Amino acid sequence: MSELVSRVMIGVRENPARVALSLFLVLVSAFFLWQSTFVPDPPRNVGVGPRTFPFLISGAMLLASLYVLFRECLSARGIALVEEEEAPPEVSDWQAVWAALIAIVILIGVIEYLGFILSLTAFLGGLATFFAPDRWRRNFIVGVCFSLFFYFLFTWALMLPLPNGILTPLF
Amino acid sequence: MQDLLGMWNGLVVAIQPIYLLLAFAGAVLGTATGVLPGIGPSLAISLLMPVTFQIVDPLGAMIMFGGIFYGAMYGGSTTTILINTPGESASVVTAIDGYQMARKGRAGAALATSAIGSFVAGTLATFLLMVLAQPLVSIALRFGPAEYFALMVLSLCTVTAIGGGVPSKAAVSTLLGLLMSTIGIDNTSGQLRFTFGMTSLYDGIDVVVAAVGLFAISEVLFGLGNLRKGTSPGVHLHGSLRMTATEWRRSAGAWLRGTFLGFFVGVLPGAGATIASFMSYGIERKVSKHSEEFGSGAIEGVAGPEAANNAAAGGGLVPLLTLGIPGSATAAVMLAALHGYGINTGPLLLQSRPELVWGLIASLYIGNVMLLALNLPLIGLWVKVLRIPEAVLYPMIIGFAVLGVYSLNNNVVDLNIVLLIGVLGFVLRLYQFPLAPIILGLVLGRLLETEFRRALIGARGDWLVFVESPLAVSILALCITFVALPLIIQARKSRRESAPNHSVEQGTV
Repeated sequence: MSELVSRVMIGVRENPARVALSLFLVLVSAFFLWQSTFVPDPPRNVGVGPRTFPFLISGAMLLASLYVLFRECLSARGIALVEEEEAPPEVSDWQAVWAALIAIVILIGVIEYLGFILSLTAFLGGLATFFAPDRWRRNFIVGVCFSLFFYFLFTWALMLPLPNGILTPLF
Repeated sequence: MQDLLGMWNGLVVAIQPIYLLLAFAGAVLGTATGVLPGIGPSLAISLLMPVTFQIVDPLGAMIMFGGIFYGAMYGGSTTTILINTPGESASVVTAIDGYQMARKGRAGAALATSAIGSFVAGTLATFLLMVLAQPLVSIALRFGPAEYFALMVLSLCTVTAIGGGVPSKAAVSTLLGLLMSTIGIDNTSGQLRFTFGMTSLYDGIDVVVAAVGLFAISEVLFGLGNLRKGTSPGVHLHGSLRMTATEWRRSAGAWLRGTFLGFFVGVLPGAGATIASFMSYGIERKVSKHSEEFGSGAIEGVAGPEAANNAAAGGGLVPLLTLGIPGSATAAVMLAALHGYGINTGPLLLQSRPELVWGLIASLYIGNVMLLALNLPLIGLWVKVLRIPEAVLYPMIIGFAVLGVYSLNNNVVDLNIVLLIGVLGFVLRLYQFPLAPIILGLVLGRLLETEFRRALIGARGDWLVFVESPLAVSILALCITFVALPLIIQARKSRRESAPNHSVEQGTV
């Protein structure tokens, strides 16, 4: 028993992110399982209602994610497991990931206020310039062309509305 | 003989210049519809319906809609292969190997196997539609809720168990997708579930929103996260646009298997094309001599599912034309169009309007020829998309995703959901949770629950209903085989591998 606990402790120390993600999935499943108990009961003569399926699925997911958590805790130092894994994809530049995420959040935040053309031009030009600063002119020209082409294709040709924002008086 | 005569009459009708023009217009529009994000074939047909009522007869309209239907199936795979952004759920599974092929300089071959596979599948499906429509309908009618439930479980099992990676993580992904499908208004009772007071969640999570988030956003985050340090795998641009002899050989079997599987799954009303494409991927992985290449650019992983989703589109016309039951959202819109022309669909359609049914079947075949002629020369042009510098291409993919997702419902909430799902997909991918099973779970979840409840309600809560019919039992037995077999093989393999190590260790001690 103590050997198992020490193995788990090693696993947590060596794979904190993997264990944290598995724990998150366990908590998500447990949350949905708990929430499904608030869905009204099925009628007694039928035995199955709107609660049954989510209750069963979240229960199954709880069991599966607990198994994955257990597995991640034990997978340190080459402890043999039946399942094999391929090499994980890697990220070498977390600053770039955060920059992209922040840019997307800003785009979503301003798209209705600034409108599709301005916000997408700024997004495309700005994010591309973050990664290729010496080609900023090209990046912004591409941004303008891309947003204008798709704006007119969607709104004029396909009659699908896109937000105009502060450019509403122009269109 | 009567069917052949009907087909001949249909061909005579379909080769009239106006119908050829409409088939061509449908193929072009369908391809564009598939390529543009957020615009599915059902939306394109809905937009065109008022116009067609004014200018063409019912046959002309159905011919054009058929072209859109098939064209969208092909067009959807183009963005999936080139920029990992699936336009609709049926082409999600193509992303797994199609995008990897594109990264390795085989984008031309991936697009070609997809186009030729779609043509082969469309042609064979049209033939099967001609000769098997009536007998298949009688079989499809034997499928009750328990059998449908078993079929969907089989589809989930094929992807979860043999979809590659760690089975327990694939199981979590599948269950996560199924759980996401329960968000929103319950189809049967109208009860709200897991909406937490947010009205935007009442309709649930759209499959396109989830697919764009999981595949496009996560791919962009990985791409940009490795771009500046030069660790991005990059895209090889100098590969040949043509398929090699080996690729032809490997694709041919996959096309045929995908076609037959796709057609028979497509006959069953429901998420035919998606189930068919996922099942085809699972089967290809199982039967291929190059199973180790799956997930990193196996051509069978593109050829099989692309043939399957096109054949399923043909199969989906069987219940539509013979029973008046739409097998998909697009078929439902086509049914609405027929009703708009005052045509009553149902078992008597073939007797009352044979020229319409046979004309449509014949023009579908002609539409397939046009699609191939249209799409093969365009491959070189599409592949040029990959020449765009990555610093510009990745932000453009996000712009494309935003455009498609916003135009679905014209609200920012969908964009927030796509971002959240994208981040979740990125983190899950980072720790080797497969993403395709999430989409399959989301697509099948509602149908699975509906059939599950219909079966239990019909049996007054008796759970044995799922093992009472021989058909359902056979399908469920197949599911158990699919789940158990890889685990047994893996356990035996690891035991074999550990045995020599053990003996070496014993020898050294």
